[in-house]
Amino acid sequence: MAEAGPKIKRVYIVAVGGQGSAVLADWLFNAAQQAGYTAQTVGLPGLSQRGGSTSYYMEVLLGMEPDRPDADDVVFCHHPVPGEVDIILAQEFLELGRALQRGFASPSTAVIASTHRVYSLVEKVPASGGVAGDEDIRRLVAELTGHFTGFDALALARKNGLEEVAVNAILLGAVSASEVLPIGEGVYREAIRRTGVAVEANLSAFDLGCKHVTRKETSDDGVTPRRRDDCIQDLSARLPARRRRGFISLATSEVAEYDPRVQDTLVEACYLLTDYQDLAYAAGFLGAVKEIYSADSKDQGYELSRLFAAGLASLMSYEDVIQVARFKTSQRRFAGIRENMGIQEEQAYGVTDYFSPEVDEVLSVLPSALYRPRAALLRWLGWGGAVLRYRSPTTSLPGFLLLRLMTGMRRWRRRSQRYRREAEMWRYYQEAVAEFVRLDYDLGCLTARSAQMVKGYGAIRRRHVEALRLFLEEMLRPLTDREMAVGTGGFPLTLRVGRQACGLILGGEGGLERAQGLVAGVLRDLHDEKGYKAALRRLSTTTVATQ
Amino acid sequence: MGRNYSDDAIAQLNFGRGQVLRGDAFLILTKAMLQSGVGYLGGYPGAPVSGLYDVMEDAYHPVLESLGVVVNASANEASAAAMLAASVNNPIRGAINMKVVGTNVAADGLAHLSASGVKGGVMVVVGEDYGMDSTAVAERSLPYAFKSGLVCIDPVGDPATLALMVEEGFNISEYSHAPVLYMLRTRTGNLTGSLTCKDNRAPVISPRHPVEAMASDINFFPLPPYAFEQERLKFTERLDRAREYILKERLNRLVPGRKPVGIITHGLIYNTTCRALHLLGEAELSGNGTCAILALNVIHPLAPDEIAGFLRDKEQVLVVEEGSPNLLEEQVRAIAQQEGLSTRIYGKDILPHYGEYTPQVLVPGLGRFLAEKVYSVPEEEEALGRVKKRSVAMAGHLKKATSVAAPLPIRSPQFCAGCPERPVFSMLKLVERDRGRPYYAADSGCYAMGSLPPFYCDDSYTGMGMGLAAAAVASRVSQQPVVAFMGDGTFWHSGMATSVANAVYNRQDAVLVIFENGYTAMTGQQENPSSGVNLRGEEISSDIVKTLHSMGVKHVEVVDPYDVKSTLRAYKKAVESSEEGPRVLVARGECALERGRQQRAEDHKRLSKGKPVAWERLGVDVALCREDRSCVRPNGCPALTLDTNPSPVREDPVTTITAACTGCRLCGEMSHALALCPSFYGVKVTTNPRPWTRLWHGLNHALIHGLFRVEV
Repeated sequence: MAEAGPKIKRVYIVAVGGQGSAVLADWLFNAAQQAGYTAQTVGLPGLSQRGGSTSYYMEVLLGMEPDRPDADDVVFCHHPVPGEVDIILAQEFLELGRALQRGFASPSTAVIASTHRVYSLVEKVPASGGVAGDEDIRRLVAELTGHFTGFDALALARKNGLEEVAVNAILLGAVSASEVLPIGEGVYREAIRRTGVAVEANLSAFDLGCKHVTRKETSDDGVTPRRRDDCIQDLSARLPARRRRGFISLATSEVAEYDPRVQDTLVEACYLLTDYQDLAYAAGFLGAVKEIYSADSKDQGYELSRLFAAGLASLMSYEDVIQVARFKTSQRRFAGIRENMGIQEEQAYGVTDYFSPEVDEVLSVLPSALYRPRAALLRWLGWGGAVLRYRSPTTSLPGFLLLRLMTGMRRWRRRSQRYRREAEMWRYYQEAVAEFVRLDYDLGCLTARSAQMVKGYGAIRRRHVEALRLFLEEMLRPLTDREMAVGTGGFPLTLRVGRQACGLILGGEGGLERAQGLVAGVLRDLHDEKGYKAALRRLSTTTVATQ
Repeated sequence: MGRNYSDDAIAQLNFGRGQVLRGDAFLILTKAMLQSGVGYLGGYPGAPVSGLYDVMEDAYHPVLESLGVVVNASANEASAAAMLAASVNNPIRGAINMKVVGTNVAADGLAHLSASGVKGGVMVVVGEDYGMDSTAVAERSLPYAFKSGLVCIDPVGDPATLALMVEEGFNISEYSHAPVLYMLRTRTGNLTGSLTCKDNRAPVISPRHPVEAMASDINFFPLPPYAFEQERLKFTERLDRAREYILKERLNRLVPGRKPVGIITHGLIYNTTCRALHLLGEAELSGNGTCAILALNVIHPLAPDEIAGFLRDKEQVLVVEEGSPNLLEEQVRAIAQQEGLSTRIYGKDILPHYGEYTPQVLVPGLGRFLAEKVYSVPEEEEALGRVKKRSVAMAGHLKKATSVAAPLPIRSPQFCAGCPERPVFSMLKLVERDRGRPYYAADSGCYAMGSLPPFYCDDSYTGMGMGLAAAAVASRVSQQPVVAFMGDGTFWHSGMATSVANAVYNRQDAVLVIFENGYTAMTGQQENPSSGVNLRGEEISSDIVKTLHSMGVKHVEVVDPYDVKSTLRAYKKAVESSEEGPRVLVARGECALERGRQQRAEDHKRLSKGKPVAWERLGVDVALCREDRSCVRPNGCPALTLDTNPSPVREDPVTTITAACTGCRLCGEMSHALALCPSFYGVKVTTNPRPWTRLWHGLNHALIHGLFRVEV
């Protein structure tokens, strides 16, 4: 809009509160001043320490010495103006997206951003979904900005053993290297020194940012996919020696019969289930997948088989107390904790686990014959739903021992009451997928994916399992029935309503009721073709959160 | 505590003539006060002026004390306003600060003070926040200046003017004997720039140069019959003298224009107006261009001569006045009418009545003024076309920006990691499951975030210290239990009288949760009487529990909020209690930010001496997480977040805990309380462990390794 752009450089910094962005703004201001420019920064720290959004806006007067008498005449603006910002510096990717949606960028804006995500609370609350898609933010970048330099500064910091706040100095380095401001590298360094906050760490972070941009690494590092054979080797190495050969043969010869697009999932699932139980268990899984696979089609890219394999493997690797105890006492787990927490050899450390299984969850690993009388007794005592709250000192011998005793039950798992229940459920799931795919391919996929609905432990898991059953029996089934009766071919309505219902069910508390309400409302209208068409029209104009 | 200014930053307050200070507006303002010979400072922290309070605190020992400046951390805004009484009969200058809603607390004091008038210059710095960046209420402080006959300064937003207006503010206050309101807007307060300094002036009366006795004059005692004369002085002499001073010292800024068209605006809105005109192609970056601009630094009183002089040679004038009521515009119209001027005056008929005047408002607004009222003749077709095009360009641009993708999620503020207030709200969510939702009365402070997601404990919010009092009727007419919240800062500010005394006196049936975290945390961990020390570092022994008892509260229980189980028990007991009147739970847990800061410093010291240092953190075994996020919903900790699912067969992200975790154990406690899952674990790590700690761990680890071949 303005022709006087070259006289003032306008820099907008957007960030997440409490992540050190005030220091970034300080460095930039000090660097501009030390480089001899008149500058002004306006901060909106707001509730910055409380994790809200925060922003800083800086104007730098170029082409005018600060001591020239008319330098004072320039009136700085305290607000960034939509479409009138030269540089957007985003410390986090969602904040960039939000700044772009508020129109601050134009095609002449240079954007320097870290692409890592700090999830906002509203993204974390729904039981599923809710997270802003990177694709949306990337589309905003593509359509609304000119020069984009984006990379995961957080990953870069971590890779180099720096703390999270190093993201700020890395970004400053990127600003320096991309030469968006007429300020020399040395001046930025000096600004870091003068500000006096973690100088050494920040200087090395600054170098990282500089180098990253100079090497033209302006986009994320691509991850080269590993070869499947390597993957199988790696996975087999994690299994006990006596199972390795069997797994390799299962994962190579048996899986080879499938389309390449399904193979990765199958290999991973076979490993998962071999590790979970044994080879026979994995072979049983493959047998079930084969049935669905035979109904699948190449034209659809074997999406159904992939979804079903993932769904079934996840149901078959249900977390009973055996599995939990097994993981909790595994070597892999402790190595992971030591690595994540940065625990050194010379430090002493202890782990306390928070367990709260229901009594029934523990009892149900018993064989049915042993389980039934005990469960009946508990019910009679009124302790059917009792919860065993236990803080396990897992790194001490007694704590470890108790958990290890549980893992011993693994060899009898397939006789357990829990197994019977679970097996019944996944057989039901398999039948439903087979049934719905006969009606419509996409419907089959939706059913296959619905296994992801099963989440949580104990009572929460029961609710989710029940939701899955209700979704299939009282939502998908009546919808398909009605759509076949009054529809005009295919299942566009069922698919749309089904996806919305699925999204609602996973959207958090009360979601199931909302989904039931939605479906009931739609079903009421499906008495004839006219009502059907009206419902279809209405649904295509409403946007409800879906998966 | 609070926002700590570095020693270097504070040292700049001692700068002399010609030296250049670099810093934020709070440093700049404080420096200007010292240059004006201010004798005492006070205030109550509140955004956007809490920075002033922080400078006052950080500068007390290194600068202010030796200059002889008296500093008080006022108990509330009324106490701050009352401080100003020193200047009524004595030639001592004083300044206090408060946020805009604080003026309502201070109103009684300010009314009396403005009746008496002052001998020494007096300045009330008010955090004007019409854009509601950090205030819940949008209101202007200007109407106070009107009704109380105060001088009101709203400075143009550059460091030099900010400082100059502080100095002139004291001068005008002394010259006119009227107290001065100085508006510091959010975007002015948080500005960083530089100032060429002058020498500081030590106050004439101070602890270093005490007077034998304070001067006193019955004529300025604000009671009838003296008050009748004071009323005359207030609205005639004092404001007249202020007008005289404004004209004499040319306190307002005049920018000439090429056309007989003018804009009258004020404070920071001038900066935005200049930029909007520049973007419309009507002015240079300096504001010079088509329209003349009268930028008011003093918005009350107006000098009619100045306004009439500006209007006289103009055909059209637009009053760009942010907010309602539009007192400036109405005065300008009145002056034009009195002077018999035919200038067409526009204002709220073109610009919005409410909301902050951002560039998004002013670019189209000024564009409309120019296009519809100024450029209307054929010979100015080109300018008209340009203005029209540019004033709608922004709307087009904004529309495009919003059309690319669905609105992205917002990022609302939340309790910090490890905050001792969060567990109380988590506990309440637990109780809600079985017992339904109580009536929640919110109050001012960090815990007001309990009204945001994921807690939504928010049935009323009435102002500082009023939460419990706001539920007075609910306590009588609703079957829900009433639960009110209050922080220690708010308790000492006004809550003990407004809410607690009121509840005891009226036997209000309610549970009051007092969060005693030791600081006025929301505004940056300033001390309050619960901190044990005051701003000067002197020890204080105020005690909330004793105070409650002596006020007549029978049921008081102190709980450790991190111990969810006991808090829950205490809460249920309080709700079910047959005790008449309010039952109080004091949730005692130090502000996690402040505790973290101290802990880090202490750990650093111990480590350097080779002493044992232990830290705790919680973690999630992501391999066991089954993605239902039931742990996030009653918690909302920033350290409890999501990550990609490591399982190749699961789609949804898992929950994880970041390094921001402070080890408060709430995640584990809630996982237990709600019987969520076995994913949570706590880790305690000791650096430089004592020999027996090392031995105990070593023995266990060796036995586990020997028996099970697992290296823990």
